[in-house]
Amino acid sequence: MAPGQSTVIRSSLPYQILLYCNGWYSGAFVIAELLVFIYKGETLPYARGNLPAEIILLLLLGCLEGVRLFLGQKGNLTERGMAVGLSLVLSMATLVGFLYLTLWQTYVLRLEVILTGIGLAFIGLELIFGLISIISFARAAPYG
Amino acid sequence: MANYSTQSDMRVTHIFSLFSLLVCIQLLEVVGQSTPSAILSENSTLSKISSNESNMSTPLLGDAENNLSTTPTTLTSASGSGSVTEKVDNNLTTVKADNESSTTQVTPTLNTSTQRVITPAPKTATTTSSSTTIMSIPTPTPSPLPANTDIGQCTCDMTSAGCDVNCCCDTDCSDLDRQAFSYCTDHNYLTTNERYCFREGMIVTNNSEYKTNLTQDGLLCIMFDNYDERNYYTIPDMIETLEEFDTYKHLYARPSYSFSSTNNQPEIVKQHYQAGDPVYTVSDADVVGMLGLPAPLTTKQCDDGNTAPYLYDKDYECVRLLADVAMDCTQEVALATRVYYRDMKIVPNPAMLKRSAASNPVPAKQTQNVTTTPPSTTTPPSGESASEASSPSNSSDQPSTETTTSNGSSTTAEGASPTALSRTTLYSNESMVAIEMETPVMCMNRLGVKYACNATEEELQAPVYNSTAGTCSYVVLEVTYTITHNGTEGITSARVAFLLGEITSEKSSLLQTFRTVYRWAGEKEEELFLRSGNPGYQVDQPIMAGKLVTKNTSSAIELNQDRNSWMTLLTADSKGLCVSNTLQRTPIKFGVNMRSGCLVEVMFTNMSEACKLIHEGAISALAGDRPDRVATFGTSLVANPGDWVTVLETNTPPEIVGSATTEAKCSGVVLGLHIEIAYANVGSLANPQAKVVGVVYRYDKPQDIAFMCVAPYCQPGRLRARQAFEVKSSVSFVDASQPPYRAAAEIPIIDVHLPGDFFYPFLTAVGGRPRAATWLLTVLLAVSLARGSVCV
Repeated sequence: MAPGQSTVIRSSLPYQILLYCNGWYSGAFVIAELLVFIYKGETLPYARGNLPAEIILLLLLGCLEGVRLFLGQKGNLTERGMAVGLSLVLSMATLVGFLYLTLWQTYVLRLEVILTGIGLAFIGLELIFGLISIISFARAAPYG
Repeated sequence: MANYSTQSDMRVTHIFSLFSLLVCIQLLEVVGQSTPSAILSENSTLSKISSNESNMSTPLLGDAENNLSTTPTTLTSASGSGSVTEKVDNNLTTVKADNESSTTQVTPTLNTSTQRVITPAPKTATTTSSSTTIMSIPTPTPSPLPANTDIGQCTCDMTSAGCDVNCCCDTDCSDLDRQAFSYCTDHNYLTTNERYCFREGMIVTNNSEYKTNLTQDGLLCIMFDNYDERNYYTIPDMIETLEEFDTYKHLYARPSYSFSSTNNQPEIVKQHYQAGDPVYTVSDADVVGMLGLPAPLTTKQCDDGNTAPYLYDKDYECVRLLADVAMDCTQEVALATRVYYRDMKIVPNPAMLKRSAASNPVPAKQTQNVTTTPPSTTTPPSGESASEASSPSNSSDQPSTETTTSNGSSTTAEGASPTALSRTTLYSNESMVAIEMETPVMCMNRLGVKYACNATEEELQAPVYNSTAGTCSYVVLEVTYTITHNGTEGITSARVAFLLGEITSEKSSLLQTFRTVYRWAGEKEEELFLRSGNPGYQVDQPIMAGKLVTKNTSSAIELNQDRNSWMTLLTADSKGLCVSNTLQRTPIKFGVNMRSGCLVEVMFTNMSEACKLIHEGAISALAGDRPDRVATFGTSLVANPGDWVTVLETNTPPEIVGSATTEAKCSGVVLGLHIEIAYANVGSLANPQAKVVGVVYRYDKPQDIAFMCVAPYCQPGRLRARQAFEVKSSVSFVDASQPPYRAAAEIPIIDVHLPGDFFYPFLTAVGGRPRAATWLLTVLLAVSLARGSVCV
């Protein structure tokens, strides 16, 4: 990049902020959920095998979140629409995971509703901003 | 969604919507969810299906998950036209399906104008249930139970078409009826509301009634509960084959009465008697039985079926009801002495029966007294025992002989059979122990005085009825078996002692006492001493008490032979009057608090003279033969008075009482005694031994007693009436055990000194002890260090 030449940064700042905060939040979420599962396992009766399955699902969800957020951040910073798109595809999977924890797991505590609600809000906002970034990256591509 | 104008289009929509509904549910099932409370179907044409319709439609799913069929699934959609919804509703109301033979068919509604048959597409059928078979012959299916629902909604409604009292949910009761109810017995067991964070009866872990309290409405309460099954039983299948039943039984059956076909006869397998075993007898007819000891089993009446357990001394008192003394005197066998010892011998060892079992075909259980009855009736009516006995017996016995034996015509069969010989040998075996009758036989007259009977041998065997006097004499009142045994070698001798009495025709019942006393062979009766505890007193054992006797220089305790007269409370006779006889006083038992009272009678006229008598009578009634030493332990030796605690006394009454002040008054009479016994547990906490530590005889304060007249008796002529004053005594036990305590050692003082030359360059310690300047220096050092760290 030659000096004096102005460059247009197409990476979305709010998207980046969202992804960054979501990263911290996801970590906290997984830890909190694990504690909640310990609480539920101690106090509530579970059908055989349900609790381990739900914990495994939570861990998988955590990994998926990590991959999604990494792809989103990388795509946003490198202005690659492909990575952001992949992140959005992955967010569909995490959406199902969060919905499972909100609605369909064996016992849904109020705390979990709040925690997953925040997670869902993150996903929803990132969907919007991710789509915007993809569009802006795509529009910029022929000119870049 | 678009509006549909033509009917064909609508039909397509119906099929499509049905399909989409099924796919939706199937999807959820695949995901593994139990009950989604709300399903958002994206492109559904159904706007709403009410809950009862969805319940009806759930059997369509065939063998779908139970949980799916229960929840009132509400399908909501943002879009959808009202007309379509109505049509679909009409069609779905009549959806029928068989449970097992899942012939899914949808019959048309009757209320719609055109009759339409909606046959589900084969695709739908495969999604719902994999195996769709059409049964040619319809088997009667049980009425289906809805899974995971509380089906007992009004369990107190027990009368159909009638109002049950206090059953508020009974629909047969009118509101006016309900006003007469005092309360409602019906419970609201489970109110399930998925939407509430707090639910009544969230967890049912057992069947007991529960109560839930809302303690917190915080973050950790359940908002969605997708595990409703835990609150309901699973619906069991009907058992149709025997194998299925057995599988269920193996899985769930708990030990109960086993109906295995074992022999009811007690098998004599032991080599020797053990404590608690029945003692076997053999009658002169060679019938094996057991030594009976009539006992009150369920009522106070004598039950002759009770057997005397080996080695346990038993003492039973029971009642015989006599309908007619004249007849029962000679007819009732239980009144005659002979049935208790004659014509029977005790088997010294069960091994002897076993040895002769091969030749003895009747190992029969025999109850008491049946020795007098013909043996044919005592033979058990079991062909089983006969056939069982026939197998070890020699083969020359025909089975027919055995059956005749059990049928009752026994004499000829026994005489003919070769086993008869062995039968006689068992009774006539020398080792069999005959029961000897102790002589002289004691009799008791009506006043309760015992004396040696002067009766003939005949009279001693059976009671005699005197028709003129209407009395029946020589009736058995007490039977005492004394059995001498030698441990494993068995019974060596047996004696029986009787106490005979007389009953009159007025008496319709008779109290009989039956005892067994077991003695080891070689044991000397006079040397036996029954302790009250070893070493600590045991509850319900008499308190050991005696008197100190000093002879020359040595002293010892004089102890009564009869353990029941060691330490006593007063006893009243049948009229409630005081008894001064020591033998009849109530023994004080360890750990049993008691109160007893008796009456001293006086008359108005002789009251002043009687004052002294009353006093003396009261004193003797209260204290009896008062002991002055009480054993601290049940094992205290009489030779060692140090182990005995002195009895203390307070308010000891004076020997001579003051004379009466007025005619109808005695002053200074002691009418009560309260014995207090303090004991303490010693030894291990796990095995406490009670030790008596102190005994106090507390007499009541002397009081004045006055003759009082009650209205009708205050007439001058009536003053001769007797008046009674109660003399009372009581005993109470005080547990003075010292609770164990823990003593901890003192905290050690740690003597820390800095070495003498610790501050050498700055200070010189004198004798290793820093001076005041040392402390100043230390503070300065600390401050400078702290500042340095802050600056960094």
